[in-house]
Amino acid sequence: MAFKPYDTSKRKPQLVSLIDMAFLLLLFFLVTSLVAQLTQQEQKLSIPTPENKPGRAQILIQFLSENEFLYIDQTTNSIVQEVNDQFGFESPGKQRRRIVERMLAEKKYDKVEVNKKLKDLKKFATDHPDQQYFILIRCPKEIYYYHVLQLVQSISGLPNVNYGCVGGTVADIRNATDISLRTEIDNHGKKRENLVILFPK
Amino acid sequence: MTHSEKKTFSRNIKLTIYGILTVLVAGLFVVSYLFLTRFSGLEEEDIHIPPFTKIDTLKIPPRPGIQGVVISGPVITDLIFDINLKAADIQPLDWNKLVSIDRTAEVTVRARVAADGRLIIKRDQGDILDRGHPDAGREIEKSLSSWVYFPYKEGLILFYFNVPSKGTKKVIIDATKLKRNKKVPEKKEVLNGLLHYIRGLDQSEIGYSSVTFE
Repeated sequence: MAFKPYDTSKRKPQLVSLIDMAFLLLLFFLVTSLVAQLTQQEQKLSIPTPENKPGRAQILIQFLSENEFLYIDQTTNSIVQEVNDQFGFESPGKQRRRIVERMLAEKKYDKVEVNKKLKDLKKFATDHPDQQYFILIRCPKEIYYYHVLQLVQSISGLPNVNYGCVGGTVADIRNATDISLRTEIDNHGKKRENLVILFPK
Repeated sequence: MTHSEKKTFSRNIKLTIYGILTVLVAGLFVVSYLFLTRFSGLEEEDIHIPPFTKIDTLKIPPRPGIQGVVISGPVITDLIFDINLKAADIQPLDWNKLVSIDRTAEVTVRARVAADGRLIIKRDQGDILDRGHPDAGREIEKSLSSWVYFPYKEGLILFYFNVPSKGTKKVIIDATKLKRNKKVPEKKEVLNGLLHYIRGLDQSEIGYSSVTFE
C-alpha cells in the first residue's frame, strides 16, 4: 500500500490549542492571585473559640449596658489588695462583694472613655511590639452583638493585640467563687501578681 | 520561487508565529505578575510566601475561657538588700588604711540593722570584740556606723575582720540572722546583695558564712 508522503510545508502551528492554553494560564493566574489575597486576609482574621476553663487576658471588658463597661486590668489589683488588707478579718464572700462594689464604683466607664483607653493601648502596643495583649470581652445576650463588633473594631489591626468574646453578665463577677491575687510565673519567666476571677458554674 | 526558497520562507513564517506566541505567553506572565502586585493590592513580600514561613504566620490565637479569667498583673520585682551607696555620709572601710593601722588585727563586730536600714553598733554593749587591736576596732567601727542598707531586712549582722589572714577569707559576713522587714510586702522576695562597703580588698577575700561572736 502506498502511503502519501508527509508534507512538512503544510504543517501549521495549532493556534486553537495555544490560545486555549494561554487563556487557561490567564485564568490560573487570576484565580491563584485571588486565593493568595484571600489567604492573606484570612491570616489576619482571628476568631478564637472559647474553651471551658479559666482563660488568661490582660484586660477584661464586661458590658454592663450598651454604653457602660467594667474595664478590669492590672490596676484593679490595688483594689483587691486594699480590700484584703483592710477587711482580711471578714469572710471571703464579704470581701469579694466589697471588691466588686469598688470595681463597679472605680472601674466603670462609658463608651467614649473605653474607646480612649483602647486607643491609648493600641498606641502603646504599636510602640512596644514585643508586648502581647489579649482582651477578653464579655457581653450579656441582651445586648446586640453589633456593640461588641464596634468594640472589636477599635481593637483589631495590631498583630500583638488579640481579643476574644464570650457571653456573660456582671452577675458572674458579682457571684464569682474567687477573686484573689495570685503570684505566678509568666512565659518569660517573670514573676507576676495576677488577678484571678472564677465565675460560678 | 524555487523549492528551497519556498522552504526557507515557510520556515521563517513558522518561526515568526512561534516567536509571537512566545512573546504572548511571556506577556501573560508579566500581566499575571502585575495582577498580583498592582491589581490585588498585595505587598511585594506577601506574594511569594515560602511554605515554612507560612506555618509560622498562622498562629493559633489565644482562646478565651468561660469559667473565669486570670488577668495578668504587674511584674513583681525582687528586692535586693544591699548597701545604699547613695546614702548621705556613708564611708567606705579602707582596707589599706586598716592594714597600715594594725596588720595583725582580728576584730569581730555584732551590728544591728535598724528598720530604716541604718547599721547600729554599740561598743558599750560589747558589740565590738577588738581585744589587743583597739585602733583597728575604732577604724572599723567608724566606717561601719556610717553604713546604711536598703530597708528590706532588719536584725543582727556579724562581721569578722581578719587582717593577717592568708588562704582564708579576710572578711566574713554573717547575714543569716537578718529577717525581712515587716513593711516589705510578702509577695516580694528579698535577696542579699552587696552587704559591705570595703575598698582596697578583692571581692574574693570576702566570704559569707556564719560568724561566732564570743
